[in-house]
Amino acid sequence: MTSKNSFLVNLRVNAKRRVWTIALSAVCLFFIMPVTMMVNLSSVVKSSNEIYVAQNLANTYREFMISNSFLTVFTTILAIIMAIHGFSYLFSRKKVDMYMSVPVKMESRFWAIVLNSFLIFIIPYIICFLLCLVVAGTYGINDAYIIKMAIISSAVNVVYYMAVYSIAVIAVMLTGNLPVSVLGTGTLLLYEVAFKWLLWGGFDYYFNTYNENSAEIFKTIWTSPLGKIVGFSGEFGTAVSDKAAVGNIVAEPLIYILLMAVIYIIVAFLLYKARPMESCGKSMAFRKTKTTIKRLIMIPCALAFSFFFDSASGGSIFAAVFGLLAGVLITHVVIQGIYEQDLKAAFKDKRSVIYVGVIAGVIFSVLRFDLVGYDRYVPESGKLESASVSLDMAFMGNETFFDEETSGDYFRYIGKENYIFKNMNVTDVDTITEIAQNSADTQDIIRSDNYDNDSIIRGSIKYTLSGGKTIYRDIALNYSECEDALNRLFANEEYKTGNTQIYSPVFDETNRLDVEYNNGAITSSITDIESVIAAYRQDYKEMTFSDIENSMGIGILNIDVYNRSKNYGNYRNCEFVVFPTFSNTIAQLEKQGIVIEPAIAADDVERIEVNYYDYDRELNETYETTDINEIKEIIENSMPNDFYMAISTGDDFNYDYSVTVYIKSDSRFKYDYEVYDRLFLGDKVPDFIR
Amino acid sequence: MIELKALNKSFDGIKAVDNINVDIKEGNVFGLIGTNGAGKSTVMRIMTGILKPDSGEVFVDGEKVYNNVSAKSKFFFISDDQYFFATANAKDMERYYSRIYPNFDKGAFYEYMVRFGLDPQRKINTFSKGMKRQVILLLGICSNTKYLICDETFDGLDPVMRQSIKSIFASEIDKRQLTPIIASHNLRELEDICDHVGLLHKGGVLLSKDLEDMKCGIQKVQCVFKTDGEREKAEKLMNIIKDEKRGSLHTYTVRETQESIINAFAGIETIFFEILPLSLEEIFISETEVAGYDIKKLILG
Repeated sequence: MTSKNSFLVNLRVNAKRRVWTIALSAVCLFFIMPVTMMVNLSSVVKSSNEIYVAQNLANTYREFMISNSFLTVFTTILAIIMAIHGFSYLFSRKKVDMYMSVPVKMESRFWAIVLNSFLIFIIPYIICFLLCLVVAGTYGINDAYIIKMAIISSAVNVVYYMAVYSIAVIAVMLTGNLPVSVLGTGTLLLYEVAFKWLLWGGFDYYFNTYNENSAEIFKTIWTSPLGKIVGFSGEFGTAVSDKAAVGNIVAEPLIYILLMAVIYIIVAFLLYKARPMESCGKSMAFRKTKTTIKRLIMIPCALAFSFFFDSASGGSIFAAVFGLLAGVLITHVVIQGIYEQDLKAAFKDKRSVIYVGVIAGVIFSVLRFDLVGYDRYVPESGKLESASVSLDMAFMGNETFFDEETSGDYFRYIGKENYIFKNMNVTDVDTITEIAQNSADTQDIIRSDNYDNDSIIRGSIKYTLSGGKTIYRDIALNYSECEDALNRLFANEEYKTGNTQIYSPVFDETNRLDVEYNNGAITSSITDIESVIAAYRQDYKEMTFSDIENSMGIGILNIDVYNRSKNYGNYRNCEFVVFPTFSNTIAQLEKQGIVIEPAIAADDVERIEVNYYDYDRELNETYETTDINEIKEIIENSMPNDFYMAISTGDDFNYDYSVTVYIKSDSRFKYDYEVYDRLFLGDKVPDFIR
Repeated sequence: MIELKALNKSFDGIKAVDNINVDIKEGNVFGLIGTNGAGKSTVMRIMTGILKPDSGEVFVDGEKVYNNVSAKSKFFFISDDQYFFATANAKDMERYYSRIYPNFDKGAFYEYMVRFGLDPQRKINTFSKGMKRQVILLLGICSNTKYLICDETFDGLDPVMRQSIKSIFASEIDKRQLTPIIASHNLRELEDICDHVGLLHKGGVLLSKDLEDMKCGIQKVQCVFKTDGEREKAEKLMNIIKDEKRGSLHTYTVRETQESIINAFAGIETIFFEILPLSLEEIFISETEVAGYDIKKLILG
C-alpha cells in the first residue's frame, strides 16, 4: 500500500480545493497577456501610417513584454489572493478542527499549499507567455533580443510573485480573520515604503540643506518587494528601449527579491508552526506581537498628522502638537477597535499612547527644530578629502549635460548637479570648509525668512570623506561674506574642469560632433571644430569669477554629440556660453568668418514692437519704434529670449515686456529669421518705453 | 490507551483546562460530561492534537499526539460543528478521508449510506443538521480507527437515529475493540452506552469512574416501615447519602451493595421494600452533592 499521507497526495487534495483560484489565474492571465497583446497589436496596425507600422508594432510588442505594469499589478493581487485563500482555513474553527485532527503533518500541508500557490501562477503564466510569442509571430515581429529580455522580465515577475505571496502568508499567520489579514498584508507591503516616504518628506520640508542625493536611503527599500519592483520596472524598460546593458540593472533586484521570497516564506513557516490554533476569528494570532505592531503603526501615523497640521497652519507649533496628539489617539482607538472588535477597548493599553506620543514627539522635534544640527553640518577638515560644488549662479545653471556612461543607442541627459557630483573633485579642503561654514552660518538667516534673496547664492555640495563616505547638502551662501572663497573656488582647476562637460574626452572625437555658433540672431556652422574646442577649453580655464559676475554671454556654441559617428545614430545637444573675455574662442570663430557681433545690427532693423502686459491690472500696451537710436538702446538692454543660460549672476529676464524685432529684407547680415523675440534684463527698460 | 497528563490550558488569562489527568482505556466507551463552558471541547481538541496545551501532554498509545501522523491515524475526531468541503458530497468526503486513513472501509460506508437513506451524490450543504451528523459519524466509523472521538455528536439526531448509531457503536466495539470517546452535556444520552464517565467542571475533572462501579456502590431503596423503631434500626445499618420522605414512603440513596442492603433489611419489618436502579443523573447528583456541588446547577446550567 502506498503512503496516503504523501506530499503528492496533499498537493492533489489541496489543488482540488482551489479550483476557483486556478480558474482565476488562468483566465485573467489569458486575457491580460495574449488577448490584450493581440488587441493592442491589431489597434496599432489599424491606426498607424503604413510607413511606421512595423516600427510601432515592434515598440508595442517590446513595451508589452518588458514593461507591462498591468501585469505587475495583477501579479501582486493574485499573490495576495493565493496567500490568503490558501491559508484561510486558519480563520475558521471548524476548518482548523478538521485539518488539524487528521493525520497529516503540518509541514507537509504548509509546503503543499505553498507549492500549489506557485504552480497555480507559473503554469498559466508560461502558457500565456508562449501564446504571446505565437501572437507576435503572426505579426512577424518576434525578435530574439526582445524575447530574451521578456524572459528576464518574466523571471523577475515570478520571483516577485513569490515574495509578495510570502509576505502575505506572514500576514495571514499573524492575524486571525480575513479583513485584518488583508490590512496586515497591506501594512507589511507598504510600511517601509510609507514610513520612508514620510521621513523623506519631513527631511525635505524641515531641513533647508536637504539634498535629493541623500534620498538614496529613503529610496532604498529593504523589506517590501513592491518597493523593489517599482524601481526596477522603469529602469529595465528604459535600458531595453536603449538596448543598453541590463546585467547590473537586473541582477541586484532579482537576487534581492528572491532572497526576500526565501526569507519570508521561512518566517511564515516558523510562524505557522508556532501559531496558536485557538486564534481563529481573533484579530491577531499572537498576543505578544499585538502591542509592538500597534506601536509601529501608530508612530508614522502620528508623525503624518503632525506634519500635516504643521504645514497647513503655516508652521504653528501648537497646531503641530495638536496634530501629533490627534494622530496618536485616533490611530490608537482605530487599532484597538480592530484588535478587540469593540470601541470600548480604546481605554485599554494607555501605555502605548504615552510611549508612541513620546517617540513621535522626539522624531518630530528632531526634524522641526533640527536638534541634530543637520542644517549646520560642516565636515571636519581632517576627515574631508574632496568635494563637488554645484552653484546656481550666472550661466552655470543651464548647461546641458549627458550621461557618457549610457550604453546602448541613446545618450541620456543628466542634470547639472549629477554631472558635477560625478566628475568634480575639489581637493582644496580649506576653501570648501570655508564655504560649508558660510552656508551653516547662513541657515539662521534662511530660517528667519527675512533676507534679500539676491544676496544669497544657492547650490549643492557633495562631501567625500576619508573612507569613501559621501554626504550631500544643499547650500545657501551669503555672497558678501564668502566672495573670497568663491573666487578661490572659481580659480581652482579641479572645479573648472568638473563644472562643465567641455573637458570630457567625448569632445575630442570630432568625428562625432556637429558644432555651430549662435550669436543670438545668426547661426554659423564651424568647420575647424578641434581648434574652437581647444580655444574654448583654454578660455574657460582662464575665466575668473569677476569675468562672469557682471557680464552677459555674447553667444552660444551648440554642439551635437552623436552616439556613434556624425549623422549616424542618436545624438544629444549641448550648449556652451561664450563670454566677452573668451578671446581665444572669439579669435578662432572670427578666423572661420563667423559673425560674433553685433547679434543684430541696429541698421538692419526695420522696426521694434515692445509689448507691455500688466496681469494684475489687465493692462496691455504696445510701443513701436523705427528710431535707430531707440532701436540700438533696446537691443543693448535686451537679449534673445532663449539666451537664459547667458545671463549673469543676479540678473533675470523681465517678463513684463516682450520685444519683437523685425529685420529688414535687405539687411547687411544674413540672419536666421526675419523676426526675433527678445526680453529686457531686469530693470534695464529704456525710459522712453516705461 | 489515551493518556491525558497534567493538562493545562488558558485562553486570554481564563483557565479553560485545569490540571487534568485522565486515562482512557481501550475497549471502553468513555463519556466526558460537563456543562457549557466546562472545558469538554477544549479537552477534546487538545486530545486530538488541534490545540497545544500550555503544559502537560497527551499520549495516544504511548505516542505524543501533537503534529504526530502516527498517533493521529489512530483516531477520528468528530467536532461539534463539523466542516465539510464547500459543494462536496458524501462521496467527495469519502475520497478525502480514505486517502488519509489507510484502513477506510469504502464498502461499509456506502452500505451504511444506503441503510440510512443518504444519497452519496447529493451535496452535503443541502443536508439537514441531523443528516450531516449521520454522514460524519459514518465516515468516522468506516475510517476503522482505534478511537472515535465525538464532541456533542448525538445532538441533532432523532431518537431512532441515535439508537441506530449506538447499535453500530456496540457492534464495532465487539468486532474490533473500537473505543468511542463521547463528550456531552446530556447524561441521559450517555447512560446506556458509556462504560466510564468523567465529569468536568470549570476545566477540572470532578469525577472519573466506571459506571458499573458507580452503580454497584450506590443504590436507591424505597420502603415503608411498620414502626418508627424499625426505621431507626434500618437507618443505623446503612450508609445513607440522601433521604427523601413522602408521607410514610422513604427513599434512601445509600452507598452500599445490593447484597448488603438485602441482608440489612432481612431483619427489618417493612410494609414495602424495593431496591431501584439509579440513573446516571441520580448517581451524579448524589456523588456531587457529597462533593459539595449543586449538580443541578452543574448539569442543567
